[in-house]
Amino acid sequence: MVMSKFECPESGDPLMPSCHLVADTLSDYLEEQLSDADRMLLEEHLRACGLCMVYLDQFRAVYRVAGQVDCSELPDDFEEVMGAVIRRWQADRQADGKE
Amino acid sequence: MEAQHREDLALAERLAAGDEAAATELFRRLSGEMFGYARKMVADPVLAEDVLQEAMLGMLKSIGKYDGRVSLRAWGYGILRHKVVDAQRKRGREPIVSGADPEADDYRGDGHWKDGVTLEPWNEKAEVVDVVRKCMDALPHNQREALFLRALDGMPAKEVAVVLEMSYANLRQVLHRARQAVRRCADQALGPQATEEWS
Ligand SMILES: [Zn+2]
Repeated sequence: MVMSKFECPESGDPLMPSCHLVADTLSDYLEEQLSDADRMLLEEHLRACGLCMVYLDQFRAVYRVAGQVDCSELPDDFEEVMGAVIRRWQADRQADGKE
Repeated sequence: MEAQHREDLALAERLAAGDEAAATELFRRLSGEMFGYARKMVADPVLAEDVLQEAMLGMLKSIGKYDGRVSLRAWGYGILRHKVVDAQRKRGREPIVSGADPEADDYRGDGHWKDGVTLEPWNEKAEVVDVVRKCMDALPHNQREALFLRALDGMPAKEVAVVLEMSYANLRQVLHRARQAVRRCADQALGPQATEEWS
């Protein structure tokens, strides 16, 4: 069977070879790109394998933080500068005779 | 047509007509988040703000070219990322782009986890956010932007691929490399063997 790549490992063996297949597939799992059958086999492996579960949790933590925007990092003059961009756009439009 | 998509096209139409309130709305929606991207891609906050100004003005000026194939947000990021690269080149910095690298994997050719891959839960109390951010800063340009855009709230992967001008399959590869690299880097600060230098 093709799906046997996710076979449930012997419990507690930190060097179980099938983990690398799981590790390699976790991005596709997070991207929801696995078939239902593959997803179920992967989840079965995760339930039995603490190492891969930690690996997945860490991937998720990376993902959670990666897209965060910290608004406190905005420069003090940010609103002003953005307002100036809009004014410049309007001025350029007038110069181009669009108004 | 999705509601967001209809909204985007309506906003673009108002912008094309020179509607200032529409511009304010566009900026309110996107400028803070897009500054976050610029800041991640160029470390200097002053340069990041300059680049963002260029991109926002570029969006307003070329709004007539927006065709609604992707969201206004994704379209804006497409403009911004080119401005970022232009700015870096002007400063004599070529963006570092990494390809596939088998060395980046956390397991060996025989399928066993590599030595040093400890896989223990991270210390909850540690500054996960700070550490992951620092580790992201060390990523090659293409991995950093892919990871940021993909992790942004509500940006579908297929749109990220369009923004980055790569196939979806290629994007998944880049993302996987990026997640592996950041995870490994962060593990050095948050894992059981963490050293004091981070805190
Ligand atoms: Zn495993």
